[in-house]
Amino acid sequence: MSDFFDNWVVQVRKGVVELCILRALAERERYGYDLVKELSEAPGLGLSEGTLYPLMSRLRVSGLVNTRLEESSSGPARKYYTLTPEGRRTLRAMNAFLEKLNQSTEQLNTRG
Amino acid sequence: MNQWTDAARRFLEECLNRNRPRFAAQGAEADEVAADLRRHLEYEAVEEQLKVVTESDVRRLLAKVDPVLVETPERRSLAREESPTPIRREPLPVPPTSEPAGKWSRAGRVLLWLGGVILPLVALLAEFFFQMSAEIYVNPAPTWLHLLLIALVPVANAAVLFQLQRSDEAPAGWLWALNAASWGVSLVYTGVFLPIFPFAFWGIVFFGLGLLPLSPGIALICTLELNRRMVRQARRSGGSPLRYRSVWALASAVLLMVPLVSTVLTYDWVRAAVSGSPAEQNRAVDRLRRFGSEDALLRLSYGQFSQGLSAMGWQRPCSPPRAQELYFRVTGRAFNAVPPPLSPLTGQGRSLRNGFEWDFALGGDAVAGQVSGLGLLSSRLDASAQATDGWGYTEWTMEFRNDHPSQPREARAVLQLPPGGVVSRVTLWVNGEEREAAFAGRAAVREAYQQVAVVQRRDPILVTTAGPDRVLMQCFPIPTNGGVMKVRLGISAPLEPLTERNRALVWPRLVERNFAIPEGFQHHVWLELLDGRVEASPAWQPVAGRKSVVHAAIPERDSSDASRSVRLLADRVGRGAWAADDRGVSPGWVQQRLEQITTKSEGRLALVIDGGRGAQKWLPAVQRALAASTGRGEIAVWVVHDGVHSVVPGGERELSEAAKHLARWRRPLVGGHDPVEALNQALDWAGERPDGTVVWVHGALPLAGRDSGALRQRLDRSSEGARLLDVSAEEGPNRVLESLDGVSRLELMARVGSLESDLGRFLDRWSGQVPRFRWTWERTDSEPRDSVTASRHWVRLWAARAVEQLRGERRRDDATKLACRWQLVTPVSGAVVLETQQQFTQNGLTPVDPLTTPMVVPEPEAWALLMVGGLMVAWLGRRTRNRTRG
Repeated sequence: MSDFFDNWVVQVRKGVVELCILRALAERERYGYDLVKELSEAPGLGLSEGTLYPLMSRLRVSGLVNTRLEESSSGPARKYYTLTPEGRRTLRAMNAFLEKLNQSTEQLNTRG
Repeated sequence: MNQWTDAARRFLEECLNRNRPRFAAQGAEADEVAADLRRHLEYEAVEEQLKVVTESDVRRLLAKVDPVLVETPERRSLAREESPTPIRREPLPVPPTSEPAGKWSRAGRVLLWLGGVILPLVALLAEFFFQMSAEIYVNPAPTWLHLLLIALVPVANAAVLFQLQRSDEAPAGWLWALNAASWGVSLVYTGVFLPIFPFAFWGIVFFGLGLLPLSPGIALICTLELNRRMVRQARRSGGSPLRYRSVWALASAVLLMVPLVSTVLTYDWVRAAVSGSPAEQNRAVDRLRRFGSEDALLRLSYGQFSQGLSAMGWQRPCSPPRAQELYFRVTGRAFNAVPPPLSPLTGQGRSLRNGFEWDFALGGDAVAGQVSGLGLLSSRLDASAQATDGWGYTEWTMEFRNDHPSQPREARAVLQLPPGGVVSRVTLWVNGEEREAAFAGRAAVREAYQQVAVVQRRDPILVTTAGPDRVLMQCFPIPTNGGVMKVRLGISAPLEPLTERNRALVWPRLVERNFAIPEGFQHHVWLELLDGRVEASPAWQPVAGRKSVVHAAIPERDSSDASRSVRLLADRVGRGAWAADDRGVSPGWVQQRLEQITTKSEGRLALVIDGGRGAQKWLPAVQRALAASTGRGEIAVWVVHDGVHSVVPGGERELSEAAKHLARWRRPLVGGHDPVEALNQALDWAGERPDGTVVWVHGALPLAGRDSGALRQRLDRSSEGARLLDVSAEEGPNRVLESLDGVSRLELMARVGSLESDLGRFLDRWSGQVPRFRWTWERTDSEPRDSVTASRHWVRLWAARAVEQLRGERRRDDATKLACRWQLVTPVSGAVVLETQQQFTQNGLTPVDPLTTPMVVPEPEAWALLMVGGLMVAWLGRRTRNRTRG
């Protein structure tokens, strides 16, 4: 395949990786280690564990997620992530936009 | 909990510190990320149950989390240049539509279906049904394996196309293998058809034909294109193409090439076997037996040669007659004893072939190869016999059917007659009516046959002799599309005397033919006994209400005792009757008498045994017959097996001792062999003492023999030499025997039962343990005192021997006249039936009067006719007197 397609895939991944994190937190509070493991193993996303921590830090800085630490008797303290109200609003907006985007591309495909 | 070494902590902090600017550059809080990563590593170490975490553990765990974390600044800057994205490099996902559903994709798909699947399939079916390539160029599927491999191409291409259209995943291993095998097959056939590509191309341009020869090339292109697409899809899906797939291609190509290579090598060895030095010839024959292609050799025997190789400049390695001889030397069988070489595409065995197939032996005096479409439809033998007088008469009626759609056929067959038998009647059905034959000189009847049959293509039948006790029957033309021709041969023969009162009526047999006989075919036999009785046998069924009539159905391939003969018991030894020879210039009377010989042979006994493939079946019977015999004398045994092997050197010994020597002889019984040299040696050895006998036990021998002239010379010239007794262990042609026709010191052993019993009987007679009986015939010009009531078959049997005697005295004209007077087929005379009287007249022939031909029911004797005539005259006279009185 061409380099163009490779670059395009990279761009798409970058665009959806924050959405994936927010969607993973939409239902419930998640334990950071598990969340990272799950996301890094999601097929097609191409994320490594090391690259997820800066992304989640950025989301926290942006006010989309909250974190809390909880001590554990069996190991280091556990860090839990939850969506903030702002995070939920952003997630809804992102979902809506993505749905619209899919529809548009489907329409173009049908016409072609 | 675990314990971290200082070095591990130090290394971790170094790595984290080194990456802080990168974290910050992504909009994250570097400290938070560093803490998260530190915690993550601690979890990993716990997960891995590490007690002590060392620097190397940290390096490994960090690399697992993100390889960038452990990279040095230099390496990182280099990596950044290569990939500015922090996202891990992993196989790219397959786009939902890898090939856009645009115009090229659809057209390409259609082309691939057409060229890779439809066209090869059409080519295969066209070849299957019409054999276009096999007829004009080369047979692409000489075996079923080829057929399967050709079918693999459309199947494999269709499977690949389905897979590529339906799934985005990497193709499975079996699909790679199929594709590779497909392009291996396509490649080979592209090479095979390459020489005619230009003709095919111009055929398309000018006539719109010729796509089929191009189909392998087109299929190859499609297969390679599919392979290219499979590779792309595999790479996109994160897989990789099957390694060593060229092995599959090579394997399929080799499978295809094996028969071709075998054929080419066979041609090479055939060339050496017919033209090299004697040593080279023997070596080549040995190789042909071990590795040669029997099919290629059979095709050469039928004059078929690979057109493909011919197009490439190869020459036919030998003529068909040489190939036929070589086929026998290699396989041990006559080439016309096996089904002719038809393509497996037409079905198995004797399938009909629609193409033109010229019968080069038409009208000739050789049976030659089997022709397609021709078969024996029915066969019945109606016989009558008189056990006391020792004669039997058999009428063999056969119907031939030709299923060929366009070519009339000539049926040819060599018939083995009962010992001492002679053909005395030939009938052909023309438009449902029986027409009797004209008997004339051998050359005259053959010329008439060729004129009428071959030139005018009308209905004749010709019967001539083909060696001792054998005749060649040929009839033409048998009409196409299921046309039937019906013929009848009447055979007069003496009953084989087994004891003073026991006789055997031996049935005639087909020994060589150019037509097919269906599996399970039966000859329907009906015997009417005029005196004596039939010895009980489960094979013979009595006819209800008629004690003297029995019938049976004899399978064609049955060689059991019951199928060879029927045993009869005479009421008495003889009755002193005479038969009237009333067809000569001067009247005469003939008597057939039984002579008994009880003296032990004082001469040497030489056995010459065929060591070819056929002997596998009957050599043990020879050993058993020798082992069971208690005779003693000067005995020697030779076995013919690529030369002469003296198995039992000449000397005084028991016959059973010779059997032990023979049993110790260990050689693979393969191929067919020339017996002449061994016969010459045996005749020389046995002829050194008076009354010598050479017993030659053999199977089919469609080989003239390298030095058969010398053999005949020995038998002709040396009047005191040994006699030659021919023992045919299995039916088939015998060219050496044919070349000895008319030799007085040649005798044929009557095969009335199994080889063991027949050979055993001879050995017992040779050693003087049981008497030997033989018929003799006497003719007198003076009217005998005994009654004149015997059958004219006595006269016919006497005449057949008198013809031989006259021939020996070089009185050929007298011999021919005598044979024609008694309507006999002899070496000097033949029988021909023509369709019309005009044809007979044009050829100077006269068909016999039907009233003079023998019949299965007793023929009217002269005295009986006179008596009937006298009664008629008396009745007419009395009637006249009564009217006068009235």
